[in-house]
Amino acid sequence: MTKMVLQNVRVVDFSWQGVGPLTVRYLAHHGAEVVRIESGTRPDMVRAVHPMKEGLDPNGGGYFANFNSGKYGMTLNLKHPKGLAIAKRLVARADIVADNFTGGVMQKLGLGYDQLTRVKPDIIAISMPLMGQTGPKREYRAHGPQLAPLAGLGTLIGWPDRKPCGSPSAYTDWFVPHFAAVAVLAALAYRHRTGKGQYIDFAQREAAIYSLGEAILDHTANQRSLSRMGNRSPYAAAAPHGAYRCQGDDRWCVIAVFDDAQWQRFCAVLGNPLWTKEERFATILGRVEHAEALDQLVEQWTVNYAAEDVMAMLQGVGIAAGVVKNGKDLVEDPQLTHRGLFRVLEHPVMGNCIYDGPSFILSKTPGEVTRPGPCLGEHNHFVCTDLLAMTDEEFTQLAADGVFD
Amino acid sequence: MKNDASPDAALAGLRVLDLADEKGWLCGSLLGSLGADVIKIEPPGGDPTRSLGPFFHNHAHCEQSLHWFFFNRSKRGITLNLTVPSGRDLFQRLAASADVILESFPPAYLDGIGLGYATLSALNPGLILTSITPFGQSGPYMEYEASDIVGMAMGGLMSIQGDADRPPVRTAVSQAYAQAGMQAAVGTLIAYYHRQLTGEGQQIDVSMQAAVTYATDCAPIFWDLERFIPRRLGSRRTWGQVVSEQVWEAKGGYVVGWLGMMGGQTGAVLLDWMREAGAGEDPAEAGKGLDLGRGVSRTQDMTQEDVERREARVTQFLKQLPASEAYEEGQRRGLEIGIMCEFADILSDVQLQERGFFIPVAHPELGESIVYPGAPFKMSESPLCMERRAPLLGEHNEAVYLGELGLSPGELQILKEANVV
Repeated sequence: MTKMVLQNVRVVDFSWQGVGPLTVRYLAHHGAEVVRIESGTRPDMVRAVHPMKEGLDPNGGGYFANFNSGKYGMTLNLKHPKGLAIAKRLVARADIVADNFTGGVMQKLGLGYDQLTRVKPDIIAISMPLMGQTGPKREYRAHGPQLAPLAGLGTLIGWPDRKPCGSPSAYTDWFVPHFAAVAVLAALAYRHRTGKGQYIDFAQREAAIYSLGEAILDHTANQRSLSRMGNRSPYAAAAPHGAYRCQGDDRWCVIAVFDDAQWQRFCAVLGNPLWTKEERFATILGRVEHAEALDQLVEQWTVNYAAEDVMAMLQGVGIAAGVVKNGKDLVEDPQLTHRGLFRVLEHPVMGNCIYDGPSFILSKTPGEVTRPGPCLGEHNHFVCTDLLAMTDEEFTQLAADGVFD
Repeated sequence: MKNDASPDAALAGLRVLDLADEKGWLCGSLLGSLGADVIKIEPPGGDPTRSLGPFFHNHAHCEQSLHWFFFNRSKRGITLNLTVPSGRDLFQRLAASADVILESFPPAYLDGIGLGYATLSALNPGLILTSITPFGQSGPYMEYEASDIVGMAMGGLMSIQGDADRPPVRTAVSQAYAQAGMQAAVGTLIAYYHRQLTGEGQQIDVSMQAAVTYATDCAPIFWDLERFIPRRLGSRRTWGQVVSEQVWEAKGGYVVGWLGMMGGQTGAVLLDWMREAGAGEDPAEAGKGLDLGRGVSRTQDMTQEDVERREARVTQFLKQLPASEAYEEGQRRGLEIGIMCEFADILSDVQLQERGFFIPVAHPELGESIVYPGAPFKMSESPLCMERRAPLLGEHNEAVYLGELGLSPGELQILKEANVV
């Protein structure tokens, strides 16, 4: 049997939408037992968005199934005293509790950190709202795609002569979970050493600001504000550096040439056309200064070839070049296929479809995707009778009382 | 603790040797901030990052790179030449007592110089070797070169960024590197937990390309389930059957939100706000009952034509309002509305200030402190330590070579002269 690192770790997951579930998914993929708790009357809204398998069945949503792979799914009415009691029984046998409600919500439900520690003194609890647990704006609302602009990242995407693109998707939803997972794993390491649990106050916006990197210091130390610049390389001098149109409909290859030696090899691949010998392109300073003209000339070459061929020709001489891959390209990508990144699982409503596997591979204890995300309330009976050792009669009575609504 | 970290720090006692380049930047510094003793190992002439701007007050100097400062905080620093046998021998001695080694050499490079996982784990069975490469340790692209823009492109993120009538666009700060480094940190700590339980180490194969695929808004699943390929739409975004604007010009900036297609109660809030501000009503909307329903019924109710008509009204309305006022008023009324922040906005934000998010970090050699982002999250029992600046070149050579490995000052001198250290 494969060793799963977190096979003795139990998580009660009250989070929903993107950041919370994606944080917990790392744990599920490496063996943790995760019970994902939802409201039956207000299910996770991510269940109802595309990609979907025909129709709008709330159990046919690809996002939800992907974000919640490996987890058990339970519906609980936390406002019902017996619903809350079940939640606390799950906490009593758990190691980690996760939520991403606005500050104060868990407390009102009776599941604040002080209340949780009465049930399980060494519990590790992480709350992951947008703005954090404290502060004058802690209850400000935002939707995922708005957080990249709020973190200062949205203004860095786009072209200098146009308004910013913001973020095409909820980009920070795909960035901050890594921080939250590190926080939880660090807390697990700490607890292993000391026996103590703790509370993690995680503000999505604060972790998101780390995506700004060195540009933040350029502002605080030099009062300079980086702004969107298309595909220019802001600090490491490079030209050509950008996305170049290739043969076909909306097909592009990115190319990055950093130094004189690379430039020589690049020109050789193109067959050393006359324009490459122009004085203005002879040095890195000249190439950067005349980058726009250079880009146009490079594109006159790339446009004759498939993006895959441009990549292969340039990589053949050690130049960084890559196809701008879309969703279809990723599914068919030979390297990702070699890594087994996408796992095919059978889902009760969607049939066979793909799920993200772990992006990193541990040599002795690799992660696994054991099941697709649960249908609404799919594991109510299992959680109650298998994990909490209730009888069928008890379960039926609870259902009749509306505890799972 | 050797690294001045508190014994209460979450990762106190964890020893990390950091050989990684930009693909591992966020990993090493975050582990250090959590209390691990992270030793950055640079070639004797200095890590290439030291030549990268922006520079402190624009002084292009190896001890004034803000790039170097940001990504190497919370670490100690030594110099070591791995290209010569004497250097590799010293590295083996360091590796024997390390818990984690972070590296981003091409696949098989460390094997080639006798420092691969097989050799090091024989010396130290509990060792965790986190290996970060553009595409992975094996496979058809294993030897491909990549910078951040290649990671963004090959991982699928660039295909959804940018205006439709222009090339796909990257982000001005490196996101592929950031994704690789952060996911490496997650993998490393999973492996460390296994090590705590069993004593067993292992190697972790981190791929920058695979890491970036997590940021594509499920593009592969759109293809698999719907045979749909999401495309770049600038500041517009698809929601179900409609495409709607996200970024709205206001006075002095932009607000952000699904304001063009809100139905249900939130839609009613927006319509009320516009009406109260004198923007009137759209008779066509009342006739269609677009103030009913919520959730998925929003997109079911609104056609693309409805959305564009609403967008025209919202555009006119917001253009006349100062951006920060529109943001505050929208929030006050309960709308999910955001604002496009510039650096100055973030630094002056009252929420971040109240939470003490930004902190000064002392750089005595510069005679100044620089304001940095502080802890990315707050831990109640084991707070992060964010105050230690990046190391100077060879700053901890004596502490490590003399104090820990037991070399004599004379020996260190010889190694320095021979460019081993």
